[in-house]
Amino acid sequence: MVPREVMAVRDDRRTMDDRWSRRDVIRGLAAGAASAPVVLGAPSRSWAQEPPAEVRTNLDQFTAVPRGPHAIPGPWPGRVVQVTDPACLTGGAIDAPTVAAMLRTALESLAGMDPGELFGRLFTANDLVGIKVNPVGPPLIAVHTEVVDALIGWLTAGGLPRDHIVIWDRFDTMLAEAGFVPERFPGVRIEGLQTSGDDDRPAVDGQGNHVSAERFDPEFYYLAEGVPGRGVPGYDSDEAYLEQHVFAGDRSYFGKLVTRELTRIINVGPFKNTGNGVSMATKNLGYGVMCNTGRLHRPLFFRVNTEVLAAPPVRDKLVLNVLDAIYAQYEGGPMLSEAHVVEHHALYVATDPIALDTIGHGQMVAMRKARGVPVNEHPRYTSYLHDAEALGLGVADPARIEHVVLP
Amino acid sequence: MTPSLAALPLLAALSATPAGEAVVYTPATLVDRIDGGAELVKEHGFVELSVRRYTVGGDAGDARLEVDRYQMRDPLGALGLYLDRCGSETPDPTLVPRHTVGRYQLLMLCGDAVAVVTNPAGDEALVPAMVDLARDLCPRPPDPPPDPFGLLPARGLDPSSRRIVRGPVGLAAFATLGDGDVLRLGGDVHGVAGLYPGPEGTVLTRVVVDYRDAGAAAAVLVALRNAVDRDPYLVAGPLTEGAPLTWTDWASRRCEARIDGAVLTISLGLPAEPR
Repeated sequence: MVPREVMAVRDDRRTMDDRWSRRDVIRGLAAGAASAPVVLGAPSRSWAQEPPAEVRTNLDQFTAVPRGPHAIPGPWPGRVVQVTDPACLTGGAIDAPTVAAMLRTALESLAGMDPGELFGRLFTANDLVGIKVNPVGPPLIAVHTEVVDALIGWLTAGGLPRDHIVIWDRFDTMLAEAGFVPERFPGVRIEGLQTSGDDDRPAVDGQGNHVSAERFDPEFYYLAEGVPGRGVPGYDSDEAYLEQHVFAGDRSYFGKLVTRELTRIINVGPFKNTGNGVSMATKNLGYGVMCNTGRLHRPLFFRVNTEVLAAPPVRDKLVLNVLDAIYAQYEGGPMLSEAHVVEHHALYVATDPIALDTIGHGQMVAMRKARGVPVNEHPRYTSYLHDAEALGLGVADPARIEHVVLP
Repeated sequence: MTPSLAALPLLAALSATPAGEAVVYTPATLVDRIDGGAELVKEHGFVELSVRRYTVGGDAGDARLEVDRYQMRDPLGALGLYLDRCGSETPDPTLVPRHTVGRYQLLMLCGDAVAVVTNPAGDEALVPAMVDLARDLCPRPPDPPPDPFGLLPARGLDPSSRRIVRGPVGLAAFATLGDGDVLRLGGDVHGVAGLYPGPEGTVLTRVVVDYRDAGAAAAVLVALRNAVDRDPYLVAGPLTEGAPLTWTDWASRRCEARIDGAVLTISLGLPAEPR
C-alpha cells in the first residue's frame, strides 16, 4: 500500500531524493555496506542506483558525411526475405547444397532478379568484399561455414576472385574455433581485427601496448565522452581490459580493414538474443567493427548498434545482411544455451539491417511466449531501431516492413 | 552439510580423462569466460568458476568434453542460476541430481554449485560420457534444493516460469522498472518471479520480495514510484493512501505494486478493471 510519506512528496522529487539519501545513511550505518554506495554517491557496485548519464558521442560527425551511393538501407528498404527449408539440417548435419539453394531463392526474392544480376547491382569484380561473421557459440549458433560457402559461391560466380574476399570478425581465435580457418577456405583471406593472445603470446607488450594496436585506425573512431575503458566493472584490472579491448580511452577505433581496405561488406549474423534484445544484424557490426567496446555495454548498449551503423565506413559499404537462422536461440544469449535453441531451418536476407532486426526481434519474442519464457517488451529494448530509422538507416515500423516468407 | 560438486582435478570419470589443468575464473575475470551474461551469474552469488577439458576414449584424438563448474555462495544462488539456464528439462533417467541434457550441453544442479558439461562437436556417441562425467561431479545425492517459491500464489502459476531474482539483471527478464537496483536487492535479498497465463494470450507477471523489514519494503515502494514517474513509457495512476501503487505500461496493461508488512508484490498485466 502507498504509505503516507509517498503521498507527501509526490510533487517534489528533489526533496524526496534528498530525504531518501538521509534515510539511507541511517540504514547504511545500521545494516552495513549494502546501501553505503548510495549514501556516498560513488557507487562501487555495477548496479548502482543512479540512472545512466546522457553520453555525448560523435554521431554528428558521422551524419555530417554525405551518404554514398550504396548506403543502407540500400535498394530495398523495409524488405526482409525469410526462406525456410527443413532439408538444410539432417541429424545435426548441415546440407550445404540446400543452404546454397536457400540463399539463391532468398536473393532472387529480395531483388526480383537473378542472383548474377544482383551481384552486378551490388558489386564489381574489383571490390574487396568483407564477409563479417559471428563466431560465438559454435557449433549451433555461430555462423555456419556452409552459409559462408554459399555466399562465396555467389560472389565468385559473379566474377569476384577468391582473393578479393575476406572473412572477418573482431577476434582471430574465435574465428578459428568456429571453423573459419585457411584450409577450410583456400584462397580466401581470413582475418581477425585483433588477436586475443594467450600465455605463450601475450597480447600486451612490456610497454603496455597491445600487439594489435596498429590494426586500428587512429583517424576513425566512435567517441563516447566520459566513458573510458578504465575501471570498467567486471574486469580483473585495467590491464585485463586492455588485453581484450586494445585501447582503454573514450574512443573506440575502427579496424583499418573496415576503414581503409574493404569496399563492400556482407554482414552475416546469427539468430539469437542478448538479454531482452537481439544480437542479430546490427549488433554483429555495432560491436564487431571496432575495439574498446567493453566500456560501452552498460551505458550505451543498443545505442551503439545504431550509431556505429551510421558511421560512413559501415553505412556506405554494407550492401547485404544475412541471418543464419538454421538454428535460433531465443533465450540465454549471446552465449550458447542449447536448452533454448531450436532448429529454425531458415535464412533471412535484407539490404536493410534495421528491418531485419525488427523482424528478428518480433520472432524471438514470439518464440519465448510460445514456450512460457519470461518476456520483457519494454520499448527501451527496441527504441534503438526507431532511432536508426530516424537517421535514415532503415525501417523499424513493422507496418512498413514487407516480410516475405518462402516457401 | 549440503554436498557440493566434486572438485574438478579429482575427476576420474569412467570414459573421460582430464586434459591439462583447470582454469579458474573469479568474479573479476568471469567476463573472460562468459562475455555477455556474467552479471546475471554474479547476482546469484557467484564465487568461482573452474573450467577443464577432458578427452574421451583414451587416444581417440579430437573427442573432447568441457566442464564448467560454477561454485555459488549458497544453494539458493545455484538454484537461481540453474533455473535461468535449464529451459524445458530433458533429463537422463540414470542421473539423480536435477539436470537437463542435450547433445551439446548437460546442465546439473548439485547443492551450492552448477555444472555445465559441453560436447562441442555434438557427437551423440559422447552423451553417455557426458552423463558419466556429471555423475562423478555429484557423486552423492544432494539435499533437495531450497524452495523459495512459496511467496508466489500457486493458483494459475506456470511452474516452468519461476525464477529467483537477486538484482536488476535478473529482474529485467520480467520487468524494467527504472535503472539500477530499484528493488534494492543488492545480491543479498532475493525475490521470486513467475508467469500466470490468462485468457487470449494474456500473461500476468508477479514479482514478490520478502524484505524481512516493513520499513525496507516501504522504502522500495517509494523508489518504485520514482521509477514509474521517470519512465516515459509508464503512466502513473492516482496515489491513494492505503491503496496499491498503480500504473499502466506501454501496452496499456494495468500494473501495481503493493506491500503487506515486509512483503512487496509487483503485478504486471492485471486484468482490466470492470467499468
